[in-house]
Amino acid sequence: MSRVSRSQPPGRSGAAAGGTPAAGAPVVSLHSVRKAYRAGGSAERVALGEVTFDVGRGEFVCVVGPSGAGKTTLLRCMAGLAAPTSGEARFEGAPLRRVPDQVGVVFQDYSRSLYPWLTVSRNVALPLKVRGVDRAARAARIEEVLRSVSLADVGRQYPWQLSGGMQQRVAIARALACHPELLLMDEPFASVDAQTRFELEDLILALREEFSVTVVFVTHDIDEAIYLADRIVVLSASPGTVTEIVDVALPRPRDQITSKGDERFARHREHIMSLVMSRSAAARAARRD
Amino acid sequence: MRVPAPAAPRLASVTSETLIRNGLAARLAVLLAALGLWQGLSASGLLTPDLFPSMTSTLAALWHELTGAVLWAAVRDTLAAWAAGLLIGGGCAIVIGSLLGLSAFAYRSAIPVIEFFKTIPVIAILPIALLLFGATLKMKFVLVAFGVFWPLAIQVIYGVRSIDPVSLDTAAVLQVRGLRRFLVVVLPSAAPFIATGLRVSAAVALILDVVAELIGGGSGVGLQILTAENSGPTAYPIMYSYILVAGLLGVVLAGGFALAERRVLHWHESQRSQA
Repeated sequence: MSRVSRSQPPGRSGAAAGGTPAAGAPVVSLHSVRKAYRAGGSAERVALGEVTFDVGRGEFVCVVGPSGAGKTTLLRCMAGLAAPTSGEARFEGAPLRRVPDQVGVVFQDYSRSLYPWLTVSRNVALPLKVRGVDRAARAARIEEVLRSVSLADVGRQYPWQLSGGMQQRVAIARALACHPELLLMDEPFASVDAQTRFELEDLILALREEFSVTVVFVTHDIDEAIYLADRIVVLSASPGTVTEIVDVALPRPRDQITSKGDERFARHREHIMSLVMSRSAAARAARRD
Repeated sequence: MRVPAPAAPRLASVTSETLIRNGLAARLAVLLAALGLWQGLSASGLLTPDLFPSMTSTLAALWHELTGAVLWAAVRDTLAAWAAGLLIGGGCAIVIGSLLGLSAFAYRSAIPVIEFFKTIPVIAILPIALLLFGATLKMKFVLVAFGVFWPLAIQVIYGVRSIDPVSLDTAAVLQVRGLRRFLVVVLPSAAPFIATGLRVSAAVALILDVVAELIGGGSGVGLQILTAENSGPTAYPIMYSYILVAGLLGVVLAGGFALAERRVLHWHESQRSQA
């Protein structure tokens, strides 16, 4: 990993860059990352094949692939929640040993990741308390991030008293509370209705600008990936390996109607669809033999 | 996809409001009917008064005791051992159970021993406690703490082991570690299991407590039952009134636990509709 330079200034370059990866040291760097469960034993199950790619500072990268491709496993390796069986995952040049301080994660199931015994405010306050932010600064920051996700006056309520979309907004606010460099999102909008989903997609694009945060977003929805991403990492069916990395040639700012109506959107869609479908069909055929 | 949550134990969910609206009148009626039946059986001669005093004479004895100092001292002694045993035995069970539950290796190593101790009928160690401590409050306390510890520890272990992995991943991501992780994430996650365990343990603790008094001679409600019995038939109404007191203690303590559970676990799915 000689090309990873530690002398890179910590400033954020190219936060709103288009299709090209941002210059400088990558935020995340995966090198031949492979994950197997019960490794070595007869019941070994390979969840993730060898995956290599970098995520540049300020980039928005989506990971798509058929179900069972190991998308969640990949995200857990990037977060430092799971250690690769072989290969190496680095965050800002340093090998990942545990979840770095500057990483925020939004899980798919907000009803399980938000603590139901804590109010919305206390959920958001938790990471701030850990970092020793004092009471007044904490209150100010909670109000600020909740306003950023268009939630006001819900601080005293419990997460389960809110709608699904609102709960996921709380989870996003909590992930952003401590100014993360990197935001990892695991199919975050998979359990909300279509209308809410579009709103949340636009919200996350706006937040990315506001917080100039690098985002890695796992989804099984190809349209969502094209709409959001600068680059899309397409994974093959189980065990997942990188089929192709697609640069998304869509101008920003993006818009649900014009961006999705753009002919380049349709071309990307067709291309990625054929990658995902043919690979998963091939994998099914291979399993039958 | 949502993984089905492990079946959490059912929580006590009777609210005082619904009790008042639907059940209180009916319950009172059944209680009065039972008391009436008791009196009827005594009057008809089916219950011989020297073995089984009438309802009225028992309640009269109860009233007499309630206005005296002996009963309250006995209740105090019974509750002291109950509370101390539950506090110490329960506290140890929660701490040790959590530690064992959080480590798969510790769990596998310790569970056979815990399962074995859980199967020992606690009363079987009463002679040991008597030998060591005599007929004292300490003896009762040790017996209660011992009896509470094993079943509650198992319940806590299962509660901690059933914590949603997403909760723990979230804690890791938010950098919540150590004691804060235990207090803010682990304990509340396992709380429904712990609450059920505590509710059952509290009832078991009272039984052990009274038995330790009745057989072991520690002072308290159980000893008063024994003393009254030994005083002969004239004291039987007193004996029966102390039996009623033991029953009432059980009802009050169980009600207290159900109420506390409802307060503490107001966020839990089983309690939300009442919030």
